[in-house]
Amino acid sequence: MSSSLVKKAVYLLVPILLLAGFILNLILGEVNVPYSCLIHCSQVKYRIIIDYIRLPSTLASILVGYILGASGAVMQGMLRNPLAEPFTTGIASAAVLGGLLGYLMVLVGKLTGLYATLAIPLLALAMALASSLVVVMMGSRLGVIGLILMGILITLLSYAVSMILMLIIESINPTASMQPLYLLYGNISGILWWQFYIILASAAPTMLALAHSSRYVDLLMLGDDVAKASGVNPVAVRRILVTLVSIPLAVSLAFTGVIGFVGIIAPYVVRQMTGRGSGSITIPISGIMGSLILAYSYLASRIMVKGYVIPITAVTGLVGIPLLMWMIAKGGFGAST
Amino acid sequence: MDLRTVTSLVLVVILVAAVGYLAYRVNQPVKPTTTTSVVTSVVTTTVTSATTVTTTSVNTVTTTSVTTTVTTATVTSTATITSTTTIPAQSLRIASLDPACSQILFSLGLGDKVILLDVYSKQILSYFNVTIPSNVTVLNSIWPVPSIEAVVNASPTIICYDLGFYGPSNLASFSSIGIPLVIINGTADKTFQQIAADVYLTAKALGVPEKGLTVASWIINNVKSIEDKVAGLPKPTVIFMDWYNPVYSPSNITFIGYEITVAGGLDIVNTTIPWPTLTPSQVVAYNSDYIIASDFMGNCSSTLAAIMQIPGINYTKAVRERHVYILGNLATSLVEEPGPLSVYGAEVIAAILHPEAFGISNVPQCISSEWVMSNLRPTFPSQEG
Amino acid sequence: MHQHKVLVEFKEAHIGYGSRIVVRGLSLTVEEGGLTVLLGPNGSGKTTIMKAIFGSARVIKGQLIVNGSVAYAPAELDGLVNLTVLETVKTARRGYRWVNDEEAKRALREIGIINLANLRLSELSTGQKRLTMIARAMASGADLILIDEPTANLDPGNRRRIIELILRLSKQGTVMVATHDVDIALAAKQVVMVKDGYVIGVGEPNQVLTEEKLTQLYGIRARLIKENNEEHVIFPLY
Repeated sequence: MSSSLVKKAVYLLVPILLLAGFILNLILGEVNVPYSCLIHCSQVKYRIIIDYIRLPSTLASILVGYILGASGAVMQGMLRNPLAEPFTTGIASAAVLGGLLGYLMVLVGKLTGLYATLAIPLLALAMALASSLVVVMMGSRLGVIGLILMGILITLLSYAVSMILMLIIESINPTASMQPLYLLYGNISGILWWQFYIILASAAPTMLALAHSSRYVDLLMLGDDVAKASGVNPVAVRRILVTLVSIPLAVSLAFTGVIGFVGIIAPYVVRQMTGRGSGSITIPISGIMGSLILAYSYLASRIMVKGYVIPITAVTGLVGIPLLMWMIAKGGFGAST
Repeated sequence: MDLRTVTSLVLVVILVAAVGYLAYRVNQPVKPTTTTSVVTSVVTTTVTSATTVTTTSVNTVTTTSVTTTVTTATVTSTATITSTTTIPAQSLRIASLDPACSQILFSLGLGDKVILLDVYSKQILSYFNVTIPSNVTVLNSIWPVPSIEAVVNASPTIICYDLGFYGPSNLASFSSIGIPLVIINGTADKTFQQIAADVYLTAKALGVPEKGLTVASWIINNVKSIEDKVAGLPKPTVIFMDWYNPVYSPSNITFIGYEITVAGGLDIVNTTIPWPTLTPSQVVAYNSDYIIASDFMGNCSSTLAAIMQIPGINYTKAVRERHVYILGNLATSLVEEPGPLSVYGAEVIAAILHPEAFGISNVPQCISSEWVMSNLRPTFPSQEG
Repeated sequence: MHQHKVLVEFKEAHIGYGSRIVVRGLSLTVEEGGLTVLLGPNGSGKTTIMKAIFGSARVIKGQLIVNGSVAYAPAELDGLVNLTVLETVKTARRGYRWVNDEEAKRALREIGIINLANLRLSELSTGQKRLTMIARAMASGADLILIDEPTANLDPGNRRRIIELILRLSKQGTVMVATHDVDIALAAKQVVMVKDGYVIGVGEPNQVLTEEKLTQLYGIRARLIKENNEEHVIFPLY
């Protein structure tokens, strides 16, 4: 009785927390904007900060959080593996590889001007999609294990090539040694409005489709045999699901870099909170939980250490991993599935 | 005694023995090579960690020829030579591991003794038409450390090691090969006085102290002349950028910040830590008069386009007044690699901030090497005699 | 006599996974209505025959004709599944659409586990899980319901309830069961005895379930006991 009351309170709390996170993100940070600026701002400086910098980046943190959380839930359900995450298919390391490739192309002078700034996100996007295609075409035919294995192989291959690329970049431009690494750490603060709109455009249809395919995810949880007997081809369904997940992921990876842990924590927290594993619950609520986690992580990344922007992945890891440990210890591993 | 106590005791003994052995191994002085005379400034290496290395000798650079206030500046520096070795100047074979070392060695007139240097040193020296010995070994990569094998293969009698660049962690491996090291503070230098001290102490260690004094005073004189030119002029604010997303910037406590000050400007990034990452909000809030960036995208137009991608950048004073400048290859090296040539780094920035003081009418957004050479006419210290 | 519709027909079929053949030269016809039991020891290939019907195992040689929709209730589920009973049943499909709430609940009511509807699968006993999967198969309204090892690892009470349910289902539709449980076979319309990938006997129970055949099938002495018009098979220890 009381526990259901608590649950109801939590459900009510989530939207309030999300709104609070949104507002805090607008005013707090390395530059503190007065509260009054939320409604009307006399100082141009603060108006610019809110309108052109914090609004798109905060919205992006909420959107990308949703994408990560929801796709994490899809992957975990689809692969029947509580350790799966959005990047299990190797998409993140492929995106990093693409980003580095883009930077290298700019450095060797093949690209100039605006093309140069588009090269990094475009190549990150292209590599992410290409890696997903490989996983979808080759991995999914071999079932759940094949998919996971192919993802691991792509990750390792990307790392190997990335290391060589880093060395080449290093030798061309030693002063820019650290910078491409930001691709690995995730950074939301540089999001422009048009970039946010592109992420939104890629996310809206795919996330909607995913929310409507929750029963396919549920069916896959019962095993490939059961699915096949129901006239559903599990290989084809997995292909479609991976594709649906990969498109918004690739786009957000291209603009924000790799943001880890959200995709594994959010579904876990949701399963623990609701006690439910059905995709109809976990997919949308994990999305919202992801938004919540990333919005606050983004805030923390900017105010935790003065002078430095902590990489978001470090913050999500810092908050998420202990949370995960606590939940595993408390709930027993059985409840994790 | 029960088994557990015995086991833990044995473990502790093994651990202590292991640590002791390692400490003994590491503290072994580098094998002295049997030679005679000349060289000086002797500090025996006790190398393993940062603490032992930075037994900073406090030196007083007395560049007596210069009559500025700088002359008595007390400078902490780590330009030291390892081992009790002494090497006759004429048989010196020097391996220079990075541009900071090369700048110092060549300005001291020891260029003909250099038998190994890195490609970046070669690049910057070539702008100044410095004669590089034809049989020199050029290292194409020094990242993350130069190949020790290549260094040994060149059989140097002395190695110039930039502690500021390679850090203390690589020092152990370089000191283990039995070749004496000249350790300079190099990339970690924060002021021209420290660079001058590096120069002087290196000169002293290599037996040419008088030459060291000449170059040190050349540095101090040049800095003085820049400061004189911009004295009394308004000090515009500057953000220096090395990357755009996130903005990676030295702060005013770094050498670049110091150069900006010398150049009659103010690095407005006033964080307490060096090289912070800035969010776009900070860039807008700082609202600097100038943005100066290294050529981090490899070419000027790409770097400009990248900077224009920073959200809100259009509303900063620097962009509105078109005061965004991209340093080309040479200018970036001059500004970002502390060494004797850094005086020209400060001069490039001064010319950007106060062109009228240098008799320049129009500074282009892209500071190419050609522009630097034809407008500032930099010369290499040793070329002046 | 009225000709029944043929739902499944194997003709000289070799069945297996990839290129590995598990079942050889299978000829079998399953007509509409009643219970078909695939009887055999563990690892004999009876589940493989079942999987061939919905395409999880491959017909390598020969022919298989499936004429109608099927639903499958596996013996075990892979790992822990956190779906509720109702959600599980709702993953069934009727033709090209998902089963709706009403159909799912009707199936649960019919099987008598509507009270479990909101419990999670991971909280259920083996028997309850099997009932859920059978309810799921029923809800789909499939022409042929395939049930794999329904009585394995069950206590006598639950085993009895499941057998009764299967018999009830086979009166309304067509059911195929893969089992090593001879008691189910005794009530079947058709029994298929499978040993080491070969069918060693097909027919009505009273034809096939002889002491001799059962002894051959399981490799131990079997005894058929008739008592009050009821038949029992025992595998005496002495």
